[in-house]
This record gives sequence, C-alpha cells and structure tokens, in this order.
Amino acid sequence: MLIRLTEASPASFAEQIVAQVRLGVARGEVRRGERLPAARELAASLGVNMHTVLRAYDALREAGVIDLRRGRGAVVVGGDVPAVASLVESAAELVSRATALGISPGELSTLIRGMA
Amino acid sequence: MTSQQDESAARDAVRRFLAGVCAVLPLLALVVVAAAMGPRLGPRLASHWSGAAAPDGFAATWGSFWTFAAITAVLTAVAIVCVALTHRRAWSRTWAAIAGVLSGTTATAWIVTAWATAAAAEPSEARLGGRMAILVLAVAGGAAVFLLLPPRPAPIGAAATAPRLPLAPEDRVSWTGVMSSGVLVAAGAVGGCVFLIALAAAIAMPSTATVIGAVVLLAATASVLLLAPVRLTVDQRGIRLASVLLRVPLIRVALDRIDTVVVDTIEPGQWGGWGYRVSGAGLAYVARRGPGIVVTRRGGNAVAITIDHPEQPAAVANALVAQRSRATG
Repeated sequence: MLIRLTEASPASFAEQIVAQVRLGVARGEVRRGERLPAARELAASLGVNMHTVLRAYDALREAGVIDLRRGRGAVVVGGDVPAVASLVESAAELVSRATALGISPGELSTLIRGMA
Repeated sequence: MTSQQDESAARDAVRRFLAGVCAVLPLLALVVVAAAMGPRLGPRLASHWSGAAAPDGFAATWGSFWTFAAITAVLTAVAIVCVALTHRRAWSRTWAAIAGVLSGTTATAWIVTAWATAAAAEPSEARLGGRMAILVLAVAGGAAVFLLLPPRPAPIGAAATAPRLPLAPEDRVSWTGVMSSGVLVAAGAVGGCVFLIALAAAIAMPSTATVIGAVVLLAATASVLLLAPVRLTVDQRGIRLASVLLRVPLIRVALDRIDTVVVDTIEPGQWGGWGYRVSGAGLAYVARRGPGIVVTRRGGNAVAITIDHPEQPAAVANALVAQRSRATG
C-alpha cells in the first residue's frame, strides 16, 4: 500500500492518509485482517507527527475501515461498500488524470466544490 | 572491455588467488608441523582428553597423520573448487569458507595433539593446556577465505526494469506490504509435526539426545515460521524487511546505501536457495521463484526480496533515492 503526502494538496496530511488507506483497501492491496503499521512506525516512515497518524486512524475507525485495539494495533476489518470503493478508485484516477494535465489537487478540489 | 573493468577483473583475480592461498594453508601447516615434530614423536600419539587430566585415548602417530591429512586434503580441494567457482555460483563463496573452516579444524586437531605429545616426555603425560586456542585460527582462516573472495555481481536478468515514481521534492512517500510464504508455512507445519513426534519421544524416553533433538527441532520450526509472514517497508529511511510475528528486522538497507532497485525474476538457485539466504550473490529473502526486487548497494552486495507486484516498492525506492540525490546535490 502506497501512502503519499503532498504539501500542495488542500487536504491535511491526516486526510491524505485516510484517503489512501481507503484506496489501498478498495484495491485489495491491504486485506481484511491485515495489520496496518503502528502509528509511531508510520509517522516515522512518512516523517510526520504521530498525532497526525493517530487522527487518521481514528477517522478510519469511525468509518468502519479499521479496528483499533490496545496491543493489536490497527487491523483492517472491512472496506467501503463496493459502490463507495468504486468511487474512491474513480477519485484516485481523476486525481491522477488531473495531475497529468497539470491541474493541481488544489485546483481540482476547487473545481469539484464548484460543481457540488 | 574498459580499463575500469580490466582493473576490477585483475583485483578480483588477486583476491581469489589470496583466498586460494588461505584455503591451502591448513594442509601446508599440517605437513610442515608433521615434518618439524616428526623426529620428536614416537609411534603413539595422545589423541583424546576428558578435561584437563591425562589423556584417555591414543592413536598411531603416522596412521592418524595420514587420516587427518587425507581429510584435510579433500576439504582443501573442495575449498579450492569453490574458490574457482565464485564468479559463477552463488553458493560457492559460503561453501569455500565452510570447507576452509573444516579443513582448518581438522589440521589443527592433529597439530594440537602432536604438539601436546611432542612437548611431553611420554604420550601418557601429554597435556593440552591452552593449545586448543589455536582452533581460533581455523575459524579465522575460513573467515579470511570468505572476506577475500570478491562478491559475485548480482544476478540481474536482461529483462529487469528500474521503475521510478514521479515525486515532487517536498512529497513524502511510504510503501508497506505484508507477504506470507506458503512454502515456508508448509515447511514450518511439517517441522512442527516432526517436533511433536520428537517431543513425544523425549517424554517417553528421556535422554540427552532426545531432549536436544526436540529443542533443535523447535528452534528450526520457530525460525522457519518467523520468516513466513514478513512486512516490507520502503520509505525515506530506506528498505526494511521485518518479521511480522516478532517484529525483528531481517534486512535493512539505508537509503543512502541504495544504488538502484530493479524488478526482476528471483531464481532461488542464483541466490543460494529458499528462505533467508546469505550467499556470494548477496543477501536474499526468497519465498519462491518469481517476481521480486533486487537492491544494488553502494559498496556492498546486492539484496533480493521476492514479493508480489514488486513494481510499486521498486518505483518508490528509486524515486526516494533520486529525491535524496537532488536534495544533497
């Protein structure tokens, strides 16, 4: 599972982590029952504050993607429902196409907000 | 061939020659010591001690010499063949060192007994004293053979690719994946069954041999299962492979030591076999024959890790190496 954080994104690092874990689960790169890296380990890996990762893990727990238990860490318990997983996948593809066209995530975000 | 390649080949040839000399030293030492001590040795040689007391075993001096010399000669020949094959076979560097240690130990064993006997008035009065310490030389000789032999170039196939993820200078990226090896889990399960049989035997017939057998099988099974599920992480710190069960790092390559990471088909035979391997080709975690990454290191051996879909971790590693190079100029 790839987690990539970019300063240019309008989303916070925690939000980027949430989106990319959900994408990883939707793509089957992380399977149900698999343990995510410990918050401290992922924070060191990405060079971010541990509380950023903990915030992301809390959001993933609230979304029902992971289960957080003392001693067991963050375990994937389920992904998004297929329709939402497909949407997450489409969003990732959209971001990728926008980047290729020179449209930054910030511009894309503004574009989408204007359509809502 | 460029002059740089010529220089490298010449250097490797010198290293192989020196390793060969090291491999021959035990046999040479045995012959020299036998020639030097021969006149002082009688027909009998003290050959076995139980503790620091008087010897409790004796052998014919020259009969034992020829036996030890023959074994040392065979092991020396094995070491020399392995030295000669180091540029072609991944296992040869390790086996050259093992044969070197064994031939050194064999030669040293006879030298120590002859030395102790020659120093005493009668074979029955021979004492080992601190002479056993020279066994260290045998191990040092094997280590010298290993270190002198040039590492084999990483066996990277012609179809290998080095993908790279486009990465902005300020981007942070981390790739992590968990892999489990069916082969190693099956081997662990078989080992576990054999351990249970050995445990039952140890309980039914308690003896040193059955207990040691059970403990060894338990350790072997645990070490195989330790290698079965592993987590690979690629990030700004480098590449790490760790056991999921014990969280023990198995392989670690710092980012500044990575030259490039390629995607290739890992052939167990080229990396010394299955499992966690250290061979002339480098360090490897081989769970099966199939796709994996090969990390070429600056000033060191290559590292191979089998993994499903190796393109992304390889692309991330190469992107991080490039990002670091740009940052450090």
